[in-house]
Amino acid sequence: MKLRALAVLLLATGAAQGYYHFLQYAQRDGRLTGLPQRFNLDALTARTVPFFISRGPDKQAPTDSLTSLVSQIELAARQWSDVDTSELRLQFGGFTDAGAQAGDAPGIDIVFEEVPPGLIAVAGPTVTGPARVGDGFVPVRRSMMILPKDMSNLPSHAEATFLTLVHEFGHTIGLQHSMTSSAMATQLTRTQSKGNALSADDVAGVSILYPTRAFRSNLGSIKGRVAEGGSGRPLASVVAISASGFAVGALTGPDGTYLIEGLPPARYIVYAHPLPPAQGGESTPANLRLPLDRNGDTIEPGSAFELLFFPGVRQHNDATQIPVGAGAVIDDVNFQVRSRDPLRLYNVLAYSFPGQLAVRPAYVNVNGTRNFFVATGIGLLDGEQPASDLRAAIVGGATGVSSVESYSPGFLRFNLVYSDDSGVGPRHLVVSTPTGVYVQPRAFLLATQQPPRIEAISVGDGGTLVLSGTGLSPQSRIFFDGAAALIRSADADAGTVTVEPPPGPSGHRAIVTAINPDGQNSLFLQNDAPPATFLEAPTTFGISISPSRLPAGSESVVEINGTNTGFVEGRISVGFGTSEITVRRVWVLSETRLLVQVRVAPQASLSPVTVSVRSGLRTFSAPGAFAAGSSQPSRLEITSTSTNASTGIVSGPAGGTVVLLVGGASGSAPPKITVGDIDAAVSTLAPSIYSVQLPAELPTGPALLRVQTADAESLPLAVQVEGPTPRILEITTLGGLNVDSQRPVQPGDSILLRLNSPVKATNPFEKIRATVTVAGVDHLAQVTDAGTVRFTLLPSVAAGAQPMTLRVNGRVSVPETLAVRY
Amino acid sequence: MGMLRALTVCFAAGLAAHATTLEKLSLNDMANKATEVVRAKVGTCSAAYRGRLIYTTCQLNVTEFWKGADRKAVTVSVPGGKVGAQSQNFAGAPALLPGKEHIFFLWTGPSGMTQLLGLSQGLLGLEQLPNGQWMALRVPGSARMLDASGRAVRDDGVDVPLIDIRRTVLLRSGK
Repeated sequence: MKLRALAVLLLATGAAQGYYHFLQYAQRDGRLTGLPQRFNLDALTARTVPFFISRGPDKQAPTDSLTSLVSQIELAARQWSDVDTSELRLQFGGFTDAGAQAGDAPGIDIVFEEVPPGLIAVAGPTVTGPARVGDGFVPVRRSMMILPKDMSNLPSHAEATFLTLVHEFGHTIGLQHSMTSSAMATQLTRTQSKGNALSADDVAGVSILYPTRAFRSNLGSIKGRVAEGGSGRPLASVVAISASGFAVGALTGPDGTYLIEGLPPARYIVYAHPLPPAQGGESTPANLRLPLDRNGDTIEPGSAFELLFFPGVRQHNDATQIPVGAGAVIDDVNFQVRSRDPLRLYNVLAYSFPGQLAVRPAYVNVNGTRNFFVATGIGLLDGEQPASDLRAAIVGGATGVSSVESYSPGFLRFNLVYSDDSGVGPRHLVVSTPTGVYVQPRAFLLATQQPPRIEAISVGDGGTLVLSGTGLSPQSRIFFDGAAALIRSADADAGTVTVEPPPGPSGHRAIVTAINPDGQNSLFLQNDAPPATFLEAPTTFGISISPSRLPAGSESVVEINGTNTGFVEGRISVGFGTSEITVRRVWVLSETRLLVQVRVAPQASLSPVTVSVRSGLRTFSAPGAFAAGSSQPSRLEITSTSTNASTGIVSGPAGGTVVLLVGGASGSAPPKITVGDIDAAVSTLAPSIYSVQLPAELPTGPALLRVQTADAESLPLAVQVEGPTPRILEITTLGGLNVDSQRPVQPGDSILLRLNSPVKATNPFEKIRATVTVAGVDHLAQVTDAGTVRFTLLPSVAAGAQPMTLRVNGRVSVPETLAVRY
Repeated sequence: MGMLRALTVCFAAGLAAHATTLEKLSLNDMANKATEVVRAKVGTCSAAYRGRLIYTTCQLNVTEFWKGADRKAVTVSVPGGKVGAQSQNFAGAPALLPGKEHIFFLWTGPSGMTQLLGLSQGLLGLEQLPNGQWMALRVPGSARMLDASGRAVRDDGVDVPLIDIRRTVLLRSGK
């Protein structure tokens, strides 16, 4: 059982071999490679796929509203956008007419269709034409999410609805079902909740398709083969589970090989098992759209086999614990399996009782009195009793199953024993009978307290609301429908939280939910009668847009002016209802004024579109307020290399320089360039390429850049004038020791960076993405409360004086040197 | 704890869904909600756009008509399929294989399009036992199921003699 730990990156391996994406196999570089269906990031504005919501359902649950539903859709999309190791972003793109034909530009269409009774939602990608073998993927043209016209059984506040939306969004971006109780799990086995919507497996699934550079350097991989005799077993599921609760899986390819990526550094047990049987009325197991071979024929899974832990053992206690480090690839984790009768033990679903109703995911409070969960599953019971010789064990922490007994019809009770170091978080359940073994990854979760409960909502000062209840703390997040509230203060002892609610339509009834850091939320106890409040807002409002037309094939800015709009930075999204007109960035200039940088596709339709502005729970729409115009080939075109890596916006500090390529500019004299209506100093670097000094007096924020020659001029473009370039002032260990050539750090060390100004979000709703690049290796980093940056040095960094930069939300610091030793 | 034991295990908090998220329908529900119930063999299938969606529509050659107007053939549409170079994939949408015989619980909406009730739920396989008895089968579904109040519930599957299903449907269709 020799393992090969390869301290190399997987940068060259292509994408997604054997994973659970929508796959088509093709010969590439002399070997069979799985080509996943995914969006082409290079074809997107700011790496963002807009999603469009058609008119809305015809019918909703009593007291429910389209406002509430749209906010939940936005929140569900944000789960995928916020993945640190994925480049892909999802953004509200506006409302559309369901009957209209979608354009060819990338997008996700959410439509409300006439669906038969019994069907609630389906989603998936639309692809066009053959696979791009050279690029290693099949480009997704559009994706569809179908929801029912009649949503009266799907109240938008319910966790079931929210997690359905999260799951369906996963399909729209290219994920299929997993076998790890994740948001993309195929069975009712998933243990995600509103506060913890994605698992490591979901994160891996999306990151494989749309990886940042940090994905493969910060996470590890396991690869191997599942075979019977000499033949590889296609579509076997291989799952790596850690005692700390991670579970990440993959499916084998046609030759039985597999590759599990996205493993957080930890020690893992790995097991291989067959997919559960195909369901009645379906032609595939696990409801998977099976991969296609190079001839376009479906690759079928083989027969069932006995679950085995690596290295080929039946008991998890005998399994090898495989250490996986950041950036490491552990090879030769192979399985020799034997065909056997169809599975008799699978699909274990666990529930707990924080109140009087059973709840999934099952959270067991180690400080509570109910030290058990109940479960059902295929093969678990013999009549109403546990199946003969049923054994159960827990992987993870010092928790065990003391006994299993019958509970209520169809359910067993699993009594747990803990110790002081049982810890918290997901735990894996291993059940076995003489006929087989089954592992339910993340079957339940350990917690140290009860879910939060909101008992009352009262009016506070200055437009705030005061929530009182139990389990509320400063770390709680409060949502009004799907929109986050701003927490002003919290008193854990008094059980109160004072919040500033998101803006909403006047009289809107919003469901209020509290989510705690452990993932439990108030719906666990209050799903049937969740607390609600009514929001107040001016009843007269409106927006206008100027200019109302931009030429096809251009990028420029428009200004949106409103009345009683109450725009707040971080809460705004703008959509044009078509992916031919996309938004690169929105700036809030005031409560009634937005600046929006817009890109109009060359092939854009010239028909007027509806402009929609989302502000918290409010939507301001201006039907027919904007249209693409005919292209203007004589116009000067501006492109730049001085752009923010996240947004693609030209950026630089006041007094600093940016480089512009001005298409259409001719002659030896540089063009006249103004920034914020101030003449900028311009020097010619090469024909049509200019260095432009941003005027020193410009304030931080957006400024309009214009280029003019004797013959032509550009459309205005927004430049983000930044504060001073971030500079690393101090490099220390966690213990506070300075790091320098006399005191170098080594891989595995945690390092703190202090900058010239603390790293802070520009608004309470901004997500900070921080990456430290050392010797070309990206390290995921966290920003501390004090505004310093913390990261752990990866083993792939060589010894010596290594260049280091910090990137925060696309801004890059001045390079520094990090002393590294081994 | 006794109070807990007395409670039906129902599900207050949510679960993520499936590609196909289903509302659980009992056999009686299906018999009531179906506009047509037939035993039929799948004939030819073709795909076409309907709005922004591709539907694959198959002709069903009816061998027994249990509910609805008596016709020799009906059509059923399932989301997903391939039109020219464009294909839409909806994991969970059943693939209807020409020549295969099933029991179909069909539903025709106001638009006039006929679909399967709850996709996999409305499609029952047929199996003949050694004693000659026909059984209608649907193993417990992997698709996520919610009850009418939006709570997650188990799918217990279907495995009953064909004659019993036929009787149930006929009773509810007034035939």
